[in-house]
Amino acid sequence: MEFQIQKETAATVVAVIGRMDAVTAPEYEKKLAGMMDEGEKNFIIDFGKLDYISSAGLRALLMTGKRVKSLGGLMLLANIGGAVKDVFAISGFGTIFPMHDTVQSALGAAEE
Amino acid sequence: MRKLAMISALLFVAASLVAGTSLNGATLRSPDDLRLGRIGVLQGTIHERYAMKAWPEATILQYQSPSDLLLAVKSGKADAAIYSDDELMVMLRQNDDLAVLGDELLATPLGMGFRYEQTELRSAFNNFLRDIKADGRQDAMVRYWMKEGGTRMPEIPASAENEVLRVGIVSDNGMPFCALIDNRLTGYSIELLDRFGLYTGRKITYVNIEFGSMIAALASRKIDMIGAVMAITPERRKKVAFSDPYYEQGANLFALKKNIASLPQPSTAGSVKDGKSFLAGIAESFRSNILLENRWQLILEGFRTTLVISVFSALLGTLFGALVCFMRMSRLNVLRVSAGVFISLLRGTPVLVLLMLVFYVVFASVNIDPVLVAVIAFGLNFAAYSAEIFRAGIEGIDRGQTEAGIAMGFTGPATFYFIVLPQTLQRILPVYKGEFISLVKMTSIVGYIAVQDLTKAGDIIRSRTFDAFFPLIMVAALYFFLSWALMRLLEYLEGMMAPKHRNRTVAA
Amino acid sequence: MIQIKHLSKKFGALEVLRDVSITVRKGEVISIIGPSGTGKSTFLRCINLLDRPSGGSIVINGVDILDPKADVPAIRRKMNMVFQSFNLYQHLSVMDNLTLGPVKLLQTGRQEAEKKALELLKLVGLAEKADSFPDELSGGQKQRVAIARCLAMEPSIILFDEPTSALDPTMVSEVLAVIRRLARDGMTMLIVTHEMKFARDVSSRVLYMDEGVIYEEGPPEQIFDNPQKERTKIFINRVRSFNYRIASPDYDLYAMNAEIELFCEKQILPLKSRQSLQLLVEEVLQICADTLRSTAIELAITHSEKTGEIKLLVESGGAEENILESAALPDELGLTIIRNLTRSIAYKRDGGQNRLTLILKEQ
Ligand SMILES: Nc1ncnc2c1ncn2[C@@H]1O[C@H](COP(=O)(O)OP(=O)(O)OP(=O)(O)O)[C@@H](O)[C@H]1O
Ligand SMILES: [Mg+2]
Repeated sequence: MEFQIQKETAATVVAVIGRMDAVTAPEYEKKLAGMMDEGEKNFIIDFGKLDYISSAGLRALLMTGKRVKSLGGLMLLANIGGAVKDVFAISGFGTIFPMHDTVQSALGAAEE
Repeated sequence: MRKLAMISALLFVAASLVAGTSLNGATLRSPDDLRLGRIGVLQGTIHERYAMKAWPEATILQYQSPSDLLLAVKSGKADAAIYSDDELMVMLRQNDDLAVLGDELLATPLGMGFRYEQTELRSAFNNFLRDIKADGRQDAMVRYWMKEGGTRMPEIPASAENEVLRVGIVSDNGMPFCALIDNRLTGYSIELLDRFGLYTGRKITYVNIEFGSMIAALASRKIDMIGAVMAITPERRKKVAFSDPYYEQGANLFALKKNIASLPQPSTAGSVKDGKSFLAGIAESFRSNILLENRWQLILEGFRTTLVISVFSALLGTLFGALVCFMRMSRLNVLRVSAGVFISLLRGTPVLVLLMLVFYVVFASVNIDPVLVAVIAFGLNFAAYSAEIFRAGIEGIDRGQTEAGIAMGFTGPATFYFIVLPQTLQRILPVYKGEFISLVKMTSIVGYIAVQDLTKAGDIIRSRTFDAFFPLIMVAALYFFLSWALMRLLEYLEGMMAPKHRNRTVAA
Repeated sequence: MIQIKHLSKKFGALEVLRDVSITVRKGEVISIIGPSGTGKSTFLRCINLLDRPSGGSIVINGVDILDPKADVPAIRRKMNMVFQSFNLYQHLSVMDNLTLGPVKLLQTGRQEAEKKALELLKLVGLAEKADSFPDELSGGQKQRVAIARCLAMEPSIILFDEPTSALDPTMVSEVLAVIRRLARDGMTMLIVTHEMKFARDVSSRVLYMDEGVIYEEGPPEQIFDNPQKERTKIFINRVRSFNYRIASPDYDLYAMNAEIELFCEKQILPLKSRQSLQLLVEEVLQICADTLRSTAIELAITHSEKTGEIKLLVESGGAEENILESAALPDELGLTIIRNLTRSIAYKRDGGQNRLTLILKEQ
């Protein structure tokens, strides 16, 4: 899995690329934890280039989400499509986090 | 440290090889000063033996022809060289930077050579010699050729008889004995031999042979008599029955004038004259090496011979190579093994040795045109290489190609012809072209079996003009041109074979 | 059309074909399947004498081709072959590949041959490649040209030796489509193949070869759904199922995924099914992480060509437990996903083994 990170005024946009499975999910957790340690607390996760996600990936999202909340921050999910969307749907995960169709709209929400 | 020392030692050796540890300044006073020097001699002559005895510690450098000897001295590769005095006089006349060093070294009797069983011919020659001595004709000849430096052959009618007498000579031996002037053999030896022909009533045919191969040619009956300038020595007597001496020849050392102490040094004004103009120098060389005495004809002839030998041995070699390749890939053990033996034998034999073997052993007692012999020898050599090139090419074609052809309904031979062969040719042409070019260059050794090719033509001109460099450079240029032209021809054929594919890949 | 009796072939001491007898009638499409190295290629190659049989008889259109007097090249012209490795003539353009045979062997005029060739290239969808050279084509295109070249000779029988085995999975279908079309048009064909679904669809008869004989033959329904003989059953099952053994919680997920992918490609499963299958397997293994510390797990995936059903079988040793119920994970995410992906989940204790059977939902 790869990341593309872009700092905006309202939040940091993290694009996740490739597969988020039992092997790579810990990488994601580590990455976000590192940024939080540096003082970052608002995140927008861009799923546009993610091909695959399993429960391990969902679980990693949950864990980081919890930590963001405890910091008083914000974590928005954006741009979810294809196979990933299906997994969100069948796991009932979609109701836990606010989801946005585009990174733009997520940024707008973060600014408010 | 050690490495550094080794490198500098190597550099020193290399430098001395290039420059020669040549003598600086006028250091030669007498022949004794050559004790540790480098002395050039003609290979296989009595000069060589003499030099080895007289200067046991010196480096004796052996050369094939007088022009090479001259070149060695002029370029500083040899400090001095030994040469027969009569020829030397001619040479010095044309090279004013050379001079004789010391006194005459040795005097040797020259004789015509025969096989021992040719008693009749030999006594005929001895009788002839006695006659011309008695009536003063020989003295007149010696005076004209040796003392006056004459260069015109008198008209001597050829014998009307049909019986041929083949006489071995060295056409680039040099004046006054034998040289090509206006593409005509000229000199004391030639006049003597022509007159002898008339005397015995035989038609003389001159066979041009390297001096070193002369005795072998006599023994293998390629020639009936040795007419080259050959000193009578005890060793040679074992193989050759000599006539009575027809001339007593001395030999001298010669060296660059600037290296000889006792001579007045050529003034620097001389170099102004030399450097008058580079272009004028070239024009002069061109005139003397090409135009004078119609020497261009010699070159043209040589060029043609080289071309003929190259092309025909390539053709023969390719056809025969294809046959050998076919045998090599045959299912029959006999064919396969004999082709294998042929290939390893020929690839393991130096071409020069092969050439001599074919000429002096295989066709020893057959009167055959040496050009044909050259074509056969080079053709055989080329066959061995091309057979392997073909085989590698054919075996490199995927078996699937053949199977596709067979499965479609082609017969074995048709599959080979329509499918395997075109692909093989496309593949092997680059290697084949390279092999062909090396063949062209390889033919330059045919002088050994009395063929006057391009190289030999250059040698002959050098022996007359004593121009050390121009003929060599010209010959090199002509070889280059020949290779280039033949290459273009092959590329043209290549283009015809696969026109579409070529165009496409170029366009793509 | 072809009568083969007691055909045998030895390579030195190796007896590849022992006793093969079969009759092929006009218009039949015969698939030949079987394990590797059992002589399928050799059998085809014996029919057109690329390999010379050691014994038996082959009669084609009434001519005994093993008779020394038989005009074998003439027979081959009527019975062309398509190779696994295409074997297009490298030095000729696509057009010339197609016309060489007709012009040189059938004495067709060049113009006529080219017209015909262009038609055939259209048939295989490659008319615009007529001037290309083989090395400029993809594998699938090469094989289609090879088939067109074959057709240019107007054969009455075509032999195919694994025509798609050397192809990238993405190119298999374009070649199979061309062969299907030939089958529809009534061409007599013998096809050695590992594409089981294709063999099932296209053939009128299937030969299962093993041990140098035709071990079982019959209509595709029989061979694929109801094989009668033991070895055939094993072979068909093995081809249809994917087996993977996992012995540690630190298994190589990606190596396994790659194999699942390969199996799915062979079965020509849609992309969606592949992803679901991979997800299902990963979720199951996540839940099993604890079990894996003490015992190995055997996975088996099967795909029924008839019903299209994809089944995952999870077998583990150890104490009796339904691993899905003993879930050691903090949340139900994985389990939810599994439930939503499957149509049925069944647990059974069988022969000291815990056996879990999951059937994937229709996509
Ligand atoms: N030319 C040959 N010489 C020797 N042995 C051969 C030759 N051709 C094939 N064999 C052997 O004969 C056996 C059968 O080969 P064949 O290629 O017919 O098998 P196959 O059923 O086509 O296998 P695959 O599915 O791998 O193509 C193999 O053991 C092979 O090694
Ligand atoms: Mg095979």
